[in-house]
Amino acid sequence: MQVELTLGQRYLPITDEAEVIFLLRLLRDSQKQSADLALDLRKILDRSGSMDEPADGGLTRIQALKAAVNESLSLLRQGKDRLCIVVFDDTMKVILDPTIVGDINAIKKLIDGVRTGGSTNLSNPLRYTLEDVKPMDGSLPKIIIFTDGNVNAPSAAAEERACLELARQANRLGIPFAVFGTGIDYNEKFLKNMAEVAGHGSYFEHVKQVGAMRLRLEDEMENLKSVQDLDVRIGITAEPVVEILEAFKYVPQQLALPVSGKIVKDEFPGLDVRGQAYLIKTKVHAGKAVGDFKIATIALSWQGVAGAGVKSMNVVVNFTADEKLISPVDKTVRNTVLNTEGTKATLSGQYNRAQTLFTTSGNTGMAKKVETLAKSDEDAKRTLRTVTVTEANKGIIGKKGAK
Amino acid sequence: MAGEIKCNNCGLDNKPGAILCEVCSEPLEVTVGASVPIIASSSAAHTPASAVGIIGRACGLVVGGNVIDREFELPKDDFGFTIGRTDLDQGIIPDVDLTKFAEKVKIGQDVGYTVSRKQAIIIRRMGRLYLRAIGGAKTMIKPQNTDWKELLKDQEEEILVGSRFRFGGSEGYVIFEVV
Ligand SMILES: [Zn+2]
Repeated sequence: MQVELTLGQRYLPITDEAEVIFLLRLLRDSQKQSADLALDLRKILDRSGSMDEPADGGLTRIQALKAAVNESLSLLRQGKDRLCIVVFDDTMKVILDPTIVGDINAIKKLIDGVRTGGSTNLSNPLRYTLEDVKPMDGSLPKIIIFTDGNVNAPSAAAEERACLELARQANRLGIPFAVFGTGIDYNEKFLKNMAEVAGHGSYFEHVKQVGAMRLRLEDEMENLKSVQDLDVRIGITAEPVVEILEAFKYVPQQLALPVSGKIVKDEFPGLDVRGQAYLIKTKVHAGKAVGDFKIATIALSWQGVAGAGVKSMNVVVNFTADEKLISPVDKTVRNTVLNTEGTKATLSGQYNRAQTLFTTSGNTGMAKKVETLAKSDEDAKRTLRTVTVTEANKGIIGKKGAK
Repeated sequence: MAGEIKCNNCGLDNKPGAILCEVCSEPLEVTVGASVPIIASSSAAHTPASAVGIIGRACGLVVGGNVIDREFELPKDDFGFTIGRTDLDQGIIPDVDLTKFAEKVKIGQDVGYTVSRKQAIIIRRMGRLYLRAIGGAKTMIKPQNTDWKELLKDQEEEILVGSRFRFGGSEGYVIFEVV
């Protein structure tokens, strides 16, 4: 693993209080192979009545979804990766037991046979993929959920509670979710919350065109196949005179991390081709100190192909009276702060502020997307929220995420 | 006070280091540039008990306790290469030129340099790397997890990922780490 630390400013003027912002980037080691673990994909697909509504390309949602799943199957490695598919309305049906991939055409036939009907109960298939599907040694598990509706059977409140409890269970088991929603009838807050509770790199995305699920599924598989270091854990501990104001991570999406006291912690199952990035904002009670000044300690651990690894590094700035030494603000750090703030503004509906921030950071593409999509319908706004959290900071990660 | 940044929107004086205004959250007008990322050293990397250590690929410059930049690559074949500062008058052009780190320092009554014309050689033998002092300014080495020690002329020591070495005395020096 390669670790890079970029300080907003390394040399600062002597002061009572300063803001120190730093960006930490983890990247795969270009000289090493990926871990080459088997994928263990557990797909939970909605087949409720509303999936009969028209989608893109003259297909219904269910037709487009079946086509996307079928086309993405070719990326699974025969004799190696494991697949399990469950469909659900108010009841669930296992259409493919956890199976090491062999005959892809046989799987396609099973998918083609899926018919729609009924309302939406997600907790039963979720429980099945968490409890009944047995763990597979040396693999990267992922539960992929696709839905277009509010969970509502037997009741919305009870079903949401049950799903969140299962998300907590997934968090304890370390099995991440990829949650996809389409249309405008599903509860975006709830699905997003479910992904956040499951943790370990779980995410939620709105899908405007069901056919685009093929790319989403393919990205997911490519990312998992590129995983190099496993079980990555990071802890950032501030010095006594330093407060951590905010902490963010960016892969798979921008996410504010909780700060407990002087510590920020995160963990995720594998470092893939996108790498990982963290932005940490601190307030330093420097008390007019002069010279090198330690802000925080970063501790990292992981399981590599060649055994366990750890790294630790100090975040150190320098307070100086020499004005010529004062560093300019690092461009990447500043743009990350602006893009992060722009994303927050987008999520809270402050579209003008978001546009200004993205424009200031030179992220004109994102500013344009905000301008166009914010004026549009709810479907577009959901797309915008997914696009910003996934892409606004793609410049600092190894490879762009969702297309 | 020095270094405070006035917000063009609300007029607040913001703390040094700030990027957004603390009160109105507008972007502050600051001088922007590119800095050099600090590359984490692998000095704490676990190695299996049976292994002797990891052979490094490059040497990074250490400033303020951290590796801030990859400075030069290590030899990949079994030939040594010299490290020092260029002196064209004497026809000395080392393989790794550290002229930019060679500061003039006062050593007692004399004037010396933090890096000699012929400071050290890095040798690769049987796939392992060694640093050998060849005279001039002081060469110190700090193998992983131990203290600094001086390498006298013609002494050598194996270097692995995490090893640090230092050219120059207390008057001025430059430190590298194998990465
Ligand atoms: Zn202001």
